[in-house]
Amino acid sequence: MSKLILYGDQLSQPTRAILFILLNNKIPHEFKTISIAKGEQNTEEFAKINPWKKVPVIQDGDLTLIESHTILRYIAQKYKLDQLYSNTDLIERCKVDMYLDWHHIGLRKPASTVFYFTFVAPLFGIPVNQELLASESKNLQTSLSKFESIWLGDKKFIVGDKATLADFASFTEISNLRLISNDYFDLSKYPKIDKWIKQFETMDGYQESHNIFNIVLAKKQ
Amino acid sequence: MASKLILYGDMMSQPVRAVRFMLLNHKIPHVFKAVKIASLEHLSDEYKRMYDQSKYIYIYLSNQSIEIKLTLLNCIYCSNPLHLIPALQDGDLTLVESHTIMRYIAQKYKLDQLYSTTDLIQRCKVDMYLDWHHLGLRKASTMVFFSKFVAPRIGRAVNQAALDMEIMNLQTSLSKFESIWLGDKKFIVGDRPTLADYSAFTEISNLRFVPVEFFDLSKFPKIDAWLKRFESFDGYEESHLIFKKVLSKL
Repeated sequence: MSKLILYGDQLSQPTRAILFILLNNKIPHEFKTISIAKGEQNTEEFAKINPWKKVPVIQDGDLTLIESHTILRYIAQKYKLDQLYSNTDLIERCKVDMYLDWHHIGLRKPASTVFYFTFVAPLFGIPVNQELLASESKNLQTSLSKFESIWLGDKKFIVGDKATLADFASFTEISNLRLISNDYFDLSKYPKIDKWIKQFETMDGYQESHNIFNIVLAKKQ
Repeated sequence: MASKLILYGDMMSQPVRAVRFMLLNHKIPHVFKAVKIASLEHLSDEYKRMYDQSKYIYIYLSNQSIEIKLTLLNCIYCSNPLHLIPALQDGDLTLVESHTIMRYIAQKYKLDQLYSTTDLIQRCKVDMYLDWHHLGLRKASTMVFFSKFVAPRIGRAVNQAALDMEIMNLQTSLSKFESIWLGDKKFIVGDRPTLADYSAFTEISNLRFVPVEFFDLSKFPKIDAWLKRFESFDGYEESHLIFKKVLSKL
């Protein structure tokens, strides 16, 4: 069996979600850093691996997959990680899929736009589109409220007592917002999300997959 | 399989059409219940007339406000707190999110050519497109559709900065769809349509509502040929009845 190769940047939320799951489940893999800040995803060499010039990407022998949720589903099914995404129960898979499908426009669109304009843009001197920031910032508050009250509700994790692919995908997206100002992300308003986030920090694989993230976060504080 | 599937939705919604089209194409017994998107109400007399004759409830596109017109369908909202359409009920099970609904139907009814129940890699090929679709195509296409078709008809203001960006993104998305997702294949994954094609078809064909300067099919000959393949499929006419009537009034 060939070893999985994950190409990504540990400052990318979807890359961290995959790396965290691989480490948490002790799946043998090799991690190759493609630095987004250095533009390494745009090189001709990388375009041969992924014509979309995006990370994350995995290679498993001859198979190359893009899109983090596809990669997460693949790993969970190939290695039979049934508590993350059931191999045997269609309805259990659907419960995870509903969140994963909602995530893109429901959460990631506002979260990544607000992150870009309040963290990335100032760092690189990129002008901020204030109108867009204002509307996505409003959407982000709506998304977080729905995440708190509907997706989490009174459960420990999105689908129930155990973390699934849905939780890993949303954890890295939401915890990423700690890098931005409290004006845009105030965890004291979302006690259930706050409690849910803390559950991940003691899990196997958290430290290694969040090493670089935590260094950047420490600089902010 | 005692219960019959119930699909809730508005036939002017692209994801609803995708689910309905695949149900009809595969002759899966189901009941369709119209749930009206209120902001589309003033879109055209034709749309209003068709819906005024049917039972419906109102659902607003904005995040919070929901006005239930017919309490008959109240039950769906107990199990669908996000108030999303399409929604599918199968006995006690309620699902939202069109891609989840389509994956469910394909797996339950073993429609392996749409989404293989036996081959993980074939599923991954479909999943890659389905996961790309949301931010790769739909984010841009819905913004352009709303701003250039819906907003002027209902007197809604448009966020110009966001629109300018999404107009640009849409051209990039369509180019990539043409060159990478389709390439020289008949459909996204190969010779036969999968869930990926149904989802993409209703989203892209919906752009026929926007002015040609924002969606010029002559620039995308492969997309044009691909779109035409669907129009002779079983279920196309029935799932696109309202769509075609509204389009013909333009």
